[in-house]
Amino acid sequence: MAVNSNSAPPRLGCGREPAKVWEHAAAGRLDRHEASCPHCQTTVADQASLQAGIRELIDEPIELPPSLLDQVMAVVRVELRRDYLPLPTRYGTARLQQRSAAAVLRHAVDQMSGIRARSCRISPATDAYHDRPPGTAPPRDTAWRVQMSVAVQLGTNLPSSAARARQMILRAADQLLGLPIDQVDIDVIDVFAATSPDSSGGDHRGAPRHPSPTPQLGPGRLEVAATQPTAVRVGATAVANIAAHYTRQIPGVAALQPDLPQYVINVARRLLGPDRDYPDGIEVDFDTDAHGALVTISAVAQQGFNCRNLAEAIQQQVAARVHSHTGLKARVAVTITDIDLHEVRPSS
Amino acid sequence: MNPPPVAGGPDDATLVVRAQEGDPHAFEQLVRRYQRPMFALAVRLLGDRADAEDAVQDAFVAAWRRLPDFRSDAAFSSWLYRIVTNRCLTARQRRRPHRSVDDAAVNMAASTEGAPELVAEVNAGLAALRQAVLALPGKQRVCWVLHEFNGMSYVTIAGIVGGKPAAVRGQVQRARTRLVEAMRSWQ
Repeated sequence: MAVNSNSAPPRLGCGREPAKVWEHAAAGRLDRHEASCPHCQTTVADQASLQAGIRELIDEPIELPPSLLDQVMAVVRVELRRDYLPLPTRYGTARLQQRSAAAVLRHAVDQMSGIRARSCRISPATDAYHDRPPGTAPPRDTAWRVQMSVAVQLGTNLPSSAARARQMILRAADQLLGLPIDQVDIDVIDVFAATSPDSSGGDHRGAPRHPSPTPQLGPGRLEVAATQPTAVRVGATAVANIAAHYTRQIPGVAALQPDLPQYVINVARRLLGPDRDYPDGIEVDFDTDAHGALVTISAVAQQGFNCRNLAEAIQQQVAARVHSHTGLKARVAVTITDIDLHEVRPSS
Repeated sequence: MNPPPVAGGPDDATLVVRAQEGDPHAFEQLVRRYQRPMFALAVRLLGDRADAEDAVQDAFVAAWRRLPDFRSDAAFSSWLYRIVTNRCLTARQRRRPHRSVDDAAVNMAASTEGAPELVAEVNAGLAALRQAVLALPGKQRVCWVLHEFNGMSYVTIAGIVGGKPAAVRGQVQRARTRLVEAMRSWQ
C-alpha cells in the first residue's frame, strides 16, 4: 500500500501551501502573514474545527472486547511447534517439551537482577546424538548444550553476570528439568538502562521505538571469559550500546551522529548483515589477537565546549566503561562531526 | 538499546525472540501489550466494533504465523501496525458490498450512552465526521488516523504504509480537506 506523491502540492489563493499553514496553526505558531491573510485564516479556522472534532473522538472510550486475547491465544496454542528432548529415566526414555525446558531456563536467569534472557536453545553437546541410526533411541548419556543470549543492565559486570547466569542454568537444568548439561554458552547481546521508562504499553501515541538490536551473533563478538566448558561472549552490539550510553552522558556531547561518509558506511553495513545494527555514530571492531575492541565514535559537540578536551573525555570514559563492563581493552577513536549551535543562548 | 524490563514486563525484542522460539507466554504478553492500541486503531479505520475485533484477531494470528520471518532489527510495533492496517483495508473491501458506510456510522453513534437529546445534538457533527472518515480512500484514512489519533510522524507512518514521508504528508492534507468539506456541508 505504498503511498506515492502525486503532482505539486496545491496552493492557497495567496500562494501558501495549505499543509504548511495547517501545521503552523496546529502548533500555534502562525507567522505574521498567516495571522492576517484571509486565505490562510480560512485554513486556520478549518484546522480548529476539525481539531475540535478529533478531540471529541479521541475522548470517546473504546472498550476492549474481553474475548480478543483468548481467541488469539486459542489459535496460537493449537499451532504451537512440538519438539521434544529425550529424557532418559530408569524405565526408558521420557520426552520433554523443548520450548517448556527453554522457558524454565530463561525463567531461572530472569530471576537474577540486572539480567534478562532472550534466546535459549538446547541442543546435543556431542555428535553421537546425530550420528545414531535413524529411529533408534538416543544414547543414554547424551549431554546437552545450552546456548542463551542475554541483555544485561548497564553498570553490571558482564563476565560475572554471565558466570552467575551459568550457575542458575546448571542448577535449574539439574533440579527442575533433570537434563544433564555439558556446556553453557552465554552471549551478551545487549544492555539496558535501569531508569528509562518502558514506553511500550498504553495507547502507543508517538513514534514506535527505534529498531531493537538484533539477537543473532555473527562474527562481531569476542570471548571475554572462557572457563571451559562455559563460553561467554560479548556481542559488538552490546559494546556499541555501552559506548553510546556513556558517551551521551558526557557534558558537551549534543548527539551521536556520523558524518556523511560514515553514514554511507553504516547503511552499507546494515545491508550486509543484521549483526551490524549499532546506534548512530558508533562503530565497533574486534581485534581478536589483542583481545580488544576498537570503538569509533562520531559525536556532535555542544557549542562552548573545548572539542579537544571533549574528545579526550570521551576516549577516556568510554574505554574505562567498556573495560569495567566487559573486561575488554578498548581503543576509542573519536570524531567530532559537528558543533551544535542551537545551544547558543544570547548573552544579555 | 532497548527500554528496560520494568513493571510492564520484558521489552519487545526479548518477547519477540522468545515467541519466535515457540514460547506462547511471550506472544501472549505481546498481544496484551498491543491489543488495546490495535483495537482502537481498527475501530477508527472500520467504524464498527465487530469488524474491528475480527480484523485485529486475524492480524495477531497472522503475526504469530509470520513471526519466524520477522527480522528482529526492525521495530515490532511498526510491523504489527502494518499488518493491522492491511487487514482493516482488506476487511473493508470485502465488506463493502454488504453493508454501507452509513450503517456503520449509525451503529457507532447508537452505541454511545447518555442523555438521548444531548447526545443526539452533540453527535450530529461527530457522526458527520465519523461518516466522512469512513468515506475516505483507504490510504488517506490510514495516514490521517495514524497521524491525528496515534500522533505518529510522517516518517513513522511512511515506515508502516510504505512510500515517502512527503507523500504521507500529502495524503494527510488531502484527508483534512475532504473532512473539512464534509463537516461544512453538515453545518
